Amino acid sequence: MAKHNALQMFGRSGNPALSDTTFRSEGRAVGESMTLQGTVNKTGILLGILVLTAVYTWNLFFQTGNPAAVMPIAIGGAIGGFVLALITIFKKAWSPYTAPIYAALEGLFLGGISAIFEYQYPGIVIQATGLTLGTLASLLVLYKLGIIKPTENFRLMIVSATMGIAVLYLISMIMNMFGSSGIGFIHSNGLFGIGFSLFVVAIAALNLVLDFDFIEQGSELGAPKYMEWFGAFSLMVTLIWLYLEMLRLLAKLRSR
Amino acid sequence: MDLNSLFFGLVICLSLATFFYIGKFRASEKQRNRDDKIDWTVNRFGHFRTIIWIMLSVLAIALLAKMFI
Repeated sequence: MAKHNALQMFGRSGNPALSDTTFRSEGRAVGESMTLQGTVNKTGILLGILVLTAVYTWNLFFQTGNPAAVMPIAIGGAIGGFVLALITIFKKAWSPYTAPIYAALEGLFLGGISAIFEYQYPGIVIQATGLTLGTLASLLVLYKLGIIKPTENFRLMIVSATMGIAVLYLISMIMNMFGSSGIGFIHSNGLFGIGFSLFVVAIAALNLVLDFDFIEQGSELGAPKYMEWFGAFSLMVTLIWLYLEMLRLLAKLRSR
Repeated sequence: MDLNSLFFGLVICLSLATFFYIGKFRASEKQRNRDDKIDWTVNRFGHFRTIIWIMLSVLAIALLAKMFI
């Protein structure tokens, strides 16, 4: 297929952050186009912003020693980040503006949550960060070398599992809202709960492979420059999810 | 600095260095020249957007119900 046609028809990545018209509607760049270097740089910028705002809520918690002092900011960051993520997914051309704000808001959330986990289980945050970034680097090397090969079936499997997990979390959240304890095994520190967390961590990690493939093909096909921000944003969404699941898994293991 | 921080701190530094260095290179020929690559021209998940909206609607209804019940 000609590159031009491919770009016009470009479909979606398996990443939940990427919609069905991610590249198809964007067409080929007229001026500058998306590059791997640009996407990596933008991921670095977003990570920097996230860490900066995370440090703020982290310090706020350890200065006051009171979770109530950071929870409104953390929850506000989570809700704001969710809204910004939806806007970015549906308006990709806005991603140079929305992605940095998303990173800042998620940083507020992650900083607060991480501080609370760290207070309960000292040393857990550096472990979760190390495991998350270690997974990112390992999978990137495996992808670049062609050892992990994302295929249509692979994408179908990951998207289905991701949607299943999202629905399960939604049901659990709604049950919690109405006073129920939610779906027990999701939060338990028993073997089943840990097994579930391992499964979710694996699915979150494999979403990274789809992100890499999406970015690789986007730059190869000459997507518009702003798609670098969108590619970096989709990596951030997966990394934040993976980090949170790592924190949950480690907390379950430490609480046994 | 304890061993935990030292070990995982090193992992973080090495991982970031790997990501920023390897990330800028194109994937290997083996990865790019495959017959079973993801066909991005086929939209297998056209209903994805609908599912997101359904899930958001369910959440919104639950929130409203929680407020008024």
